[in-house]
Amino acid sequence: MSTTLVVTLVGILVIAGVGLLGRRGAITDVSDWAVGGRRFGSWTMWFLQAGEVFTTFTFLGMAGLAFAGGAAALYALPYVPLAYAGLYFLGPVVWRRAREQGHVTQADFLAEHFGSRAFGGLVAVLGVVFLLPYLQLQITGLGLAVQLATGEKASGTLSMVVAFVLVVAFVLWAGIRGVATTSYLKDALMLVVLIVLLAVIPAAVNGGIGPTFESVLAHAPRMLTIHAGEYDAGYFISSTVASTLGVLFLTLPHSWPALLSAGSERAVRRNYAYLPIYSLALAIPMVIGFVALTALPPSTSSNGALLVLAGQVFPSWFVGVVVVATAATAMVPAAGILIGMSTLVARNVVRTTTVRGQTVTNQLSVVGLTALALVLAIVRPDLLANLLLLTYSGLDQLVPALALALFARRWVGLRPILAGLVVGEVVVVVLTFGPYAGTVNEGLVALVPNLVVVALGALLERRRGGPREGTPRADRATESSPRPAGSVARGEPSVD
Amino acid sequence: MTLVCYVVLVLIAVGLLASPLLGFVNRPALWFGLPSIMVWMGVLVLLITPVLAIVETTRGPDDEEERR
Repeated sequence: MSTTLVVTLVGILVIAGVGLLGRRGAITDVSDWAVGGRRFGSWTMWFLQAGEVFTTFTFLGMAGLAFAGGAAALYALPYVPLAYAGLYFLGPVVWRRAREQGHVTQADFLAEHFGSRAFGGLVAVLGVVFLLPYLQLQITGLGLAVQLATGEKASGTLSMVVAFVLVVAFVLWAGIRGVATTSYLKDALMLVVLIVLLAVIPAAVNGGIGPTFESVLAHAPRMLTIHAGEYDAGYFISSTVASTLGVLFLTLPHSWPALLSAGSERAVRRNYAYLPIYSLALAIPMVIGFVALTALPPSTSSNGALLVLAGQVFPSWFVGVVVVATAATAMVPAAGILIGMSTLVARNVVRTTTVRGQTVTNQLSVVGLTALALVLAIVRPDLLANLLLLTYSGLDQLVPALALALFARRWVGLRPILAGLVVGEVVVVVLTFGPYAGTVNEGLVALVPNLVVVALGALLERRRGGPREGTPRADRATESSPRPAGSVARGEPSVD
Repeated sequence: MTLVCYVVLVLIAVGLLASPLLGFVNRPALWFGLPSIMVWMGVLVLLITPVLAIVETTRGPDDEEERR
């Protein structure tokens, strides 16, 4: 067994151990497990949400994108800060309403607003289907990192299995508190490793960061710009807008538990105010990607660019540390994704009638979804790859529903929203797997007919006297007294 | 002050989205040894946090959370 693999496996065990230590006392129900009693302060929220920003994509994908597309990789830099600037204002609205109504998931929020548990179920199914390949991406990312660092496919497979069995263990045991504690370790490790990589790799390969970019300017000046081709200005602007909308309107279901776990509106606001500055760390792997551009042959696998350079510059034990940091960026976001998916299944898809039933469903979902993603990652790694192409564009089609649900009053009813969602998803599938050759983001293109259908449907509703389904939210809110913090919503299961 | 902050946030968003269309930014040139577009976007992203921090510190007593 190589030094790199030993360091990697020890690191994976430490990450899981820290996750297991995250548990604080008994966990009473799925809500407590998923949103931690809604008591987290700014500090914990920072790490939870930063944990979602920095995935395996941070380590491997950003460097790879810069290696393949140069400055086009910069599209990943602004969308999270822009979305967080908007969430500074919208986040407290979502948090407040979810707290009052006892919402735990995105689907809870939408089902409540549009007065349809079936719609919540549909949104939950979409969320699970679109997140499954994202979960698998974390698993394969970890396996790829180990495989590239050790040169052995078997080591990659072993690491995937060990890491994700342990992820299931600490997620089941500690819930979101386990994700929070591992996030501390992950972000500290990731920042240290990124700074070391930035300090050492450009200096060792080109004599520094400045000489690296001078070399790119001399030999491949177009890579310093967003230029015509696959990654042109249309790609850049549309990808940034689509990604910003997705994050801003919380279309990714696993972003909800971290937000809802906040202890106060102030914690939510402060977190969204300070996180943008942290996103600048994304530029570090981009710089490494530019170093790769000057030093590696074009035939090099773009996702492996960072690790290939690390292998050339560092001793094997430190390559192991880099792989552990990569593993952390896979395991911690995967844990958050699992919590997001399993709560959707337990609360919105399988409608159990007891707290115990919901807990069991939730636990089985964590195990089942991880097993499915893990087996597919090992046996058929390409099966979900196509579905991954739909993940962001598909979830972007929830933007109209989520944007309208932010209003207290139900301005548009369920039917226009449902029709728009169906049209949007169909267009996304057609564009993604059809002959579409444009560079404008498919999700953004599909949002246009989605919004047109919603607008036409809303107009028809107006002509017929307004949304027909149920009573508008604002009226219902005045009919019932606000719930105390951590209380449960109507229709939630009773204690067994 | 808050209105100024909102305007600045909008300008930051426009500046970031328009980056590939700005001739003085999207060109093969280095600013401080880094690609000009990377420096431009980095500075704009860096500005978001202080602007939001100003909005946060100048929040009035109408904050619902504080009234509770």
